[in-house]
Amino acid sequence: MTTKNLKVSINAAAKTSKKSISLKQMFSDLKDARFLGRQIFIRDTKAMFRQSFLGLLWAIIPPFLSGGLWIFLNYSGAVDITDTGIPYPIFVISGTILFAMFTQALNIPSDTVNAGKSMMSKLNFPREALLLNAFYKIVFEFSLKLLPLVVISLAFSFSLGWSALLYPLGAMVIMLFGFSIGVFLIPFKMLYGDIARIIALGTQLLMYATPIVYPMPDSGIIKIFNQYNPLYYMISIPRNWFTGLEVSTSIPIWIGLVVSLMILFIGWILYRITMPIIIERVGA
Amino acid sequence: MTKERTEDDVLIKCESVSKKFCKDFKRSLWYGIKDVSLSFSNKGNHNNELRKDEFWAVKDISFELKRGECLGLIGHNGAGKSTLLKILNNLLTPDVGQVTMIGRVSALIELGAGFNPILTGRENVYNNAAVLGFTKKEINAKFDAIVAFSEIGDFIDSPVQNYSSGMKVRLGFAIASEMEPDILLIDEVLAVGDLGFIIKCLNRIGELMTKTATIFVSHSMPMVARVSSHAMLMHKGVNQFSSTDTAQAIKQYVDLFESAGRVNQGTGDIELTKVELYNPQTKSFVTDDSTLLATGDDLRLRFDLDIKENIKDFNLSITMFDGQLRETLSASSEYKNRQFTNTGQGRQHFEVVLPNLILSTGKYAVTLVAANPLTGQFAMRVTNCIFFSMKAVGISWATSVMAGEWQQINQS
Repeated sequence: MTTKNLKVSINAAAKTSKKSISLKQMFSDLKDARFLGRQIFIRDTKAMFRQSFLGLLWAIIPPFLSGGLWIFLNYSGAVDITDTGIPYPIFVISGTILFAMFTQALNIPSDTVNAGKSMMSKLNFPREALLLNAFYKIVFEFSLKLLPLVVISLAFSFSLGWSALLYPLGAMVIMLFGFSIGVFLIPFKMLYGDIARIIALGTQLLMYATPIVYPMPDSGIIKIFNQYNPLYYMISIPRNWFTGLEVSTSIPIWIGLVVSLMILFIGWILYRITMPIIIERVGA
Repeated sequence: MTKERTEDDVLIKCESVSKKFCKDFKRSLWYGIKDVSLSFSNKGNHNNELRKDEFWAVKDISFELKRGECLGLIGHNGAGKSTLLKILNNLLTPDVGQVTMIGRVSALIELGAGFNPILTGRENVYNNAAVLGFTKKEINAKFDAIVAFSEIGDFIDSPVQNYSSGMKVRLGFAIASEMEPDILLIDEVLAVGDLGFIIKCLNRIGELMTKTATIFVSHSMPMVARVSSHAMLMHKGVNQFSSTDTAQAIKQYVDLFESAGRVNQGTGDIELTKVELYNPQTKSFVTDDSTLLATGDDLRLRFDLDIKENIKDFNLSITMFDGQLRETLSASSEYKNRQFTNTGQGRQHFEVVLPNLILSTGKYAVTLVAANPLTGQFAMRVTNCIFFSMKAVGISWATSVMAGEWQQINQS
C-alpha cells in the first residue's frame, strides 16, 4: 500500500485574513503562481494578436505618434522648444516611451485582474498569477518599444555610449513605480469607477507638467513642481543615460526603486486581503 | 502542511459551516470592508448574527466524506448547493465553521471558465490544465489522453468560441478528470452533454470514485441514485436530510414539489372517492401505505369513482412510480379493449388485479387514470393515491426482479 503525502487545506472563518498575509504563505503562493502566470500571459498575448491585423505594431506605434506630433510642432515652429543639446526626436521619443510605460504600468494590473474576475470566482488558483501576468505584459510592451528607439537613434547617426545600457534599467524603475501603484489601486478601481477617470485625467496632466517633451526650465513653477515630482527623476535620469548627457546624481532613482518596492509589497498584501471579499460580492 | 495517506481516510470534513450574503449591493460592499477590518482586531465579529439585508445561504452544514464515497447533493433551486461547493473549493470563506480538504481537489463547477474563446481547443488545454494545478510536465504527459477523451476530433484546432456548450463540457471534463484527484466536486455540468457523453462521464466518474471522495450535485434523480453512496437534501440552506438511504432523500426531495396528497389533474368529471389495497399479511383491504408485497404476489386494488352524467365510456389505467420517479409498471383496460361504461348510478366500484408482481425492492406510488377512449383526455388523473412497499426476491439495480427458472439442458 503506497503512502502519499497529501496536502491539507483548511478554509475557516475569521482566521483567513491573518493567515493570508503571513509572509510564508505569500511567497509560497507566488511560487505556485509562476507557471500559471506565464501560461496566462502567453494565452492573452496570443489571443490579442490573433484577432489583430497590425498586431505587434499596436504596441510600438503610440509613443512614436505622440512623439512624432511634438517633433512636427517643434520643427514647424508652432511651438518653440529650447534646445536640448541632442536631436529633438531622440529626446522626445526616449522620454515619451518612459511615460507611456508608466501609464501602462498603472492601468494594466487592474485591467488584468478585472478580466480575470470571472475566473477568480469560479476556479481555485493562486491569484498572484494575475499579477505576474500583468507584470509580464508590461515588460513585453517595453521590450517592443525599445527596439525601434534604437533603430531611430541609429537612423539619426546618434552615437550611443555605454551609459545607454542603463536606460532599460532606469525604465524598470519607472515601470515598477507605476506597477506598484497600479497593484495598490486594484481593489479601489474594482469598486469605484471614479478612480479610473481620475487616473486618466491625472496622467494626461502629468504628461505636460513633467519635462518630457521639453527640457527642464531654469526657473518657475514647473521647476519647483518637478523638483518634488518623482516622475521627473525617473524619466530624465534614464533619458540622460541613454543620450549620454550628464547625470548629476542617480540617487533619486534608487530612492524611487526602494519606494516602489515598498508600495508594491503593501499593494500585494492589500490585494490578498481584499480580493476574496470583492470577488465574493462583485464577481461575475 | 501534509498528511500521510492511510486506509479509510476522511478527505472532506465540513464542520458547522454557515455563509451569509447581503441582498443590497452597496451595503454588501460596506459589510465586506467592515468584516476585513474586524478580522484583524481581536474583537468579536458579526459572524453569528444577520445584519440588515443579510440572509443565510448555507446554515450549519456538517458532514464527513471518506475516499470511495460519493455524496449526492440535492435540493431546490437556491437551496445553497452551489454555494456549499464553492466553500468546499475555497472560492468563498465561510462565516462560521471550517472546511478541511485533504489531497488534490478537482472541481467541475464551471467548465468554460479559463477558456479564452479566441484560442483553439488545443491551446486552451494547456491553459485550463495549468489553472487546475497541473505542472508543465504533467500536461505534456497527459495531453494526448485529454484530447482523445474529449472526442472533439478536428475541431480541437478550432477557436473555442465556435464550440457548442456540449463540446466545451467535453473538453473541460476531459481535462479535469485526467487529474487523478483525491477529491472531486461536480456541480450540475453534465446536464448539457449528449447521451453518449453522459454515459462516458458516469463511467469515468465511476472509475475515479474508488480513489476519490466525490460530491455530486444534480437535479436528475436517476443520475444521483446511480452514482451516490450517500445523499444530502438541502432546503433553504439547511441540511434537511442526509443518510446512506439515497431513495429516502430523493423521496423527500420529490415531496417538496408534489404534495403527497392526492391531486386530481383531470377534467374532474370523474372523482376518486376511495382507494384500498389488499394486504396479504392482514388478509384485508387497507387504505394506508402499510401494504408489503413480495415477488410473485398479486396486487389487488379496489377503488370507488363518482362519475358525472356527461361521461359515457372510459378506460381505466394504473401506473406504479418507484423511488426514483421512474414509471416501472403500467396496466390499462385499453390494452385488451375492455373499456367501461358509465352506469349512471353516481358512485361506482372497481377492482383491478395485477398478478405475479416482479417489481424490485422499494416504495411505490400508485397513479390512477380514467381517460376518454377516443380522445385520450383525462377525466381523472390522481397521482400518489396510495403507496405500497415491495420486497423483491433478490437485490438488483434493475426495475424488475425475479428468480427465473434455471436449469441445465442437454443439447443434442
